[in-house]
Formats: sequence, C-alpha cells, structure tokens
Amino acid sequence: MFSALFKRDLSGFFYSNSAYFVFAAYALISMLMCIFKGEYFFIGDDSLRSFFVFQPQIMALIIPIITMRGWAEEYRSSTVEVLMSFPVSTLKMVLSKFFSAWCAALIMSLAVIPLIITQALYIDSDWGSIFCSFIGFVLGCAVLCAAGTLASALTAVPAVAYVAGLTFSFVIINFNANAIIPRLSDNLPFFFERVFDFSAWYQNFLNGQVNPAGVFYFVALTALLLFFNWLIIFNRRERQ
Amino acid sequence: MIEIRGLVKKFGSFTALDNINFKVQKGEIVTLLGPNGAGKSTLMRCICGCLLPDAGEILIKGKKLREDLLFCLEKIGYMPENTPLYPEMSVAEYLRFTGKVFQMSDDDFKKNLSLMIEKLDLSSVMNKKISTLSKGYRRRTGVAGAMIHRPEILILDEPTEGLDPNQKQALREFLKEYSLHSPVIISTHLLEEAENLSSRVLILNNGKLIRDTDFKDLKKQAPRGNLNQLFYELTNGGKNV
Repeated sequence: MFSALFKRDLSGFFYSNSAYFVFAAYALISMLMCIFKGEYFFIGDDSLRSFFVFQPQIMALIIPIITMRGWAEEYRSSTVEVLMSFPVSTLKMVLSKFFSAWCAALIMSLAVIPLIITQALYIDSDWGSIFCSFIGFVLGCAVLCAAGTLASALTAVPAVAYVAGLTFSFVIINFNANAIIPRLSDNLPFFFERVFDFSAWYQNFLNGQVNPAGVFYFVALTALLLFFNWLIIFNRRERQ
Repeated sequence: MIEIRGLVKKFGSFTALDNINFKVQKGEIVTLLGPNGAGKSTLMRCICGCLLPDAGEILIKGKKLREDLLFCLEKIGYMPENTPLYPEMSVAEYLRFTGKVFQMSDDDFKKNLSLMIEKLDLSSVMNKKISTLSKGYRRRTGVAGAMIHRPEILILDEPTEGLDPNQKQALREFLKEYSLHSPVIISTHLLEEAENLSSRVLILNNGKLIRDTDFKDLKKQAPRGNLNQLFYELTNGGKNV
C-alpha cells in the first residue's frame, strides 16, 4: 500500500506542464552558475566542484516548488479526508510524501548528465571526488525535501507552503552555530561544533570525504524534520 | 457492527457533537438527517477516523477505533462531502489506486470493478481524467472508490447530491442491495432522500441526536403527515440554540 501512495504522490508532480518548466529552470540555473559563476571552463574543474558548490542555494529555491503541493493540496482539495480514511499509518503517509519529493528532486538532478558527459570526454576527472560530492548532494536534497514537506503540512495554500519551505531551506543551509556562539563552540568537540552547520558538512563531501558523522548529520536532520511532519499530521486527527 | 458511545467532539468552545449514542447493525441502512451545521459530517469524519473525538468511544466490530485504527479503517468505505478526488488521475487509475491501498487481490479488484462499472454506469468515463468529469460522474466515481474494496461498513456523505433523478434512483437501489450484507450510513439534509432510502433515521440538530427512529414512525408523528413541518419543529427551523 505504501507503493500505491508513493506512485500517486510522485505522478502528482508530473501532472502539470509546470513541473517540466521547473526542471528546465533548474537545469538552466545550475548550468549558468556552474559555467559563469563557478568558471567551469576556466579552472579545469576535475571534481565538478563548480557545479556542486552552488547546489544547496539552487535546491533551496527549487525543492520548495516540488514539495509545496504535497500536503497543502491535499488540505485544499479535501482529499486529505479520503487519505485519512485509508488504512494507512500516518508515518507511511509522511514517508510517501517525502520519498516522492526526494525522488522527483533526484530525477531533476539528471540535468547534470550533459556535464558528466563533458567531464568524461574532455577533462581528466577525479571520479572519487565527484562521487563523494554526489552523495553529499543526495543527502542535502533529502534534508531540503523533508523541510519542504514539513512546510507544506503547515498550510492549505501551496504558495504559502513555498514561502515557508524557502525560508526553512535557507535557514537550514545558512545557519551556523559558530557565528552565534563562537566562544561556546570553541570548547565543543568537532561533531557538536558543526552540529547545526549544513554548509560545513556539505563542504566535507565536496572535499571528497564521506564522513560517517556527516552522513549521520544529514540523516538525523532529515529524520527530525520528518518527525515534526508526522506530529503535525497526527495531530490533525485530534484537533482538526 | 458499529457502536457509538457518548461521543463528544469540540472545536474550541463550539461543541459539534454532544453525547451521541447509537448502534448500527448488519442489514441496516441509516440516514443521518439534519439541517446544515447539525454535525452530520463531523460524526461521519469521526467514524472514519479523520477526526478523533474528545470523549466517548467508537467501536467497529467490537474494536475501539482509537486503539485499533488501521483494523477499523480496513472495514470502512467512506466518501466525504463534495467528493474530493485526485483530478490528475483517470477514473480507472483512481479505482486501481484505492484497490491497492486496501491491498485487494487482482481477482477481487477485477470482479468488484466490473460490478461498480455496471451499477454506477461508469463505463464511458473509465479512461477520462477526473478533472474533466461532470459533477454526477465525479460523485459516482467517489461512491465507486468507497465501495471498490467491498467494505463491511459503508459511509457516504450526501451521495446523491448533484445526480439526476434516474441516477439517484439507480444509486438508491444499489445502496439498498448493498445494505443487505453491510450496514450503510448516509447523510442528507433532504427528507425525500431519507424517505426513499432508509429504514432508520437519526436526526441531528446542534450536535445532539434528537431522534433515532424508524422512518414510518417518524411519518406517523408528523402533523397531518407533513414531514417538512415535523422536521422544522424538531430542528427549531434550523436555528442554532
């Protein structure tokens, strides 16, 4: 039954032509940032760093478009009532929304393929480093999808869900505990020093390190956001 | 089959359902009747697990809904008010989706699908997107979605709203037939609907269950057989008190 929900949620993204417009916009923005801002052709980028380094900001703009309809549209059209009457646990409903959004974001990231082909044909590439960056990108997308899905669960208006998702995403990717409490963080172990620092962990992956603590950070943050999402949907039954 | 004990649902300070008690057995078709805002839809949402009550119990086949939510929901087929459906799906896709959510086998699904197509006259729209359907076909698709898994309890919120007289009659006949082996609860604010469909009527007003009676008895109580007059008197002319 989870697969039925997942397929429905995923196909919902591709229902309107606007999904393809968003995908095209993502591909264009990513390429422009990579080529012009990242100077891809000038620096002889062997690790595709000039592509991956801008992805958190770009994804923070684009992923809330993917996730905004998730719960908000269910509330707006009242299909949430049908959904709630199905013998499906709240957790499965939340996971279905999340995984379908994540999957759509990864499908969108296929826009990187021309760049990979260019890389393979013309540049002596560091494939290990590219792979690490890709892992960081996939995990980063998971966090932003969870944030966007959470934002969507807060409102019945998709546009408001987009703004909320955008805000959550930018707070997550730009928040740095060290900037607020530098003295405190000086005395903390490495993991806790970076515990709220998305950029630092992401940077680790771009540097070619798949650090278990980094993986744990992204997975734990995703799980925390999904837990809040679950809490909101679960409480809807109580307080609606 | 269904037992409601002391059900209370509040929205802030507003009491939508106030100490509701009744039982519905196999073979019964029950109409929830009441003016707009009486609490009919809220009661249905509570029975279907969309809303959890503030007090009281809902028992489905002897199990408490709050404690065995998924078990209870497996037994129920529900169509909410205004028939919310996924517009991007075709009718066939929607029914297939519902069948999969209820984990139906392919054989059961095919058998029930044929029955739904025949009884609800859906053959001409099976491959049409729901967004393109007329109100009547949307309603029938919603009913089919609620019934596709042959639920042991069927709950429909204003199922004949928007249907033409022939479609209404066909649906009533189908529901009567269905109620022989599974209880059916429908809501309406139309006396005509209650008269045509049900053996038993529950009248709600201001969140309270003010009558639980056989339709024939209700008719006997009506002054000069005027049901509208009786309904007006029972519900205080639809005014909130």
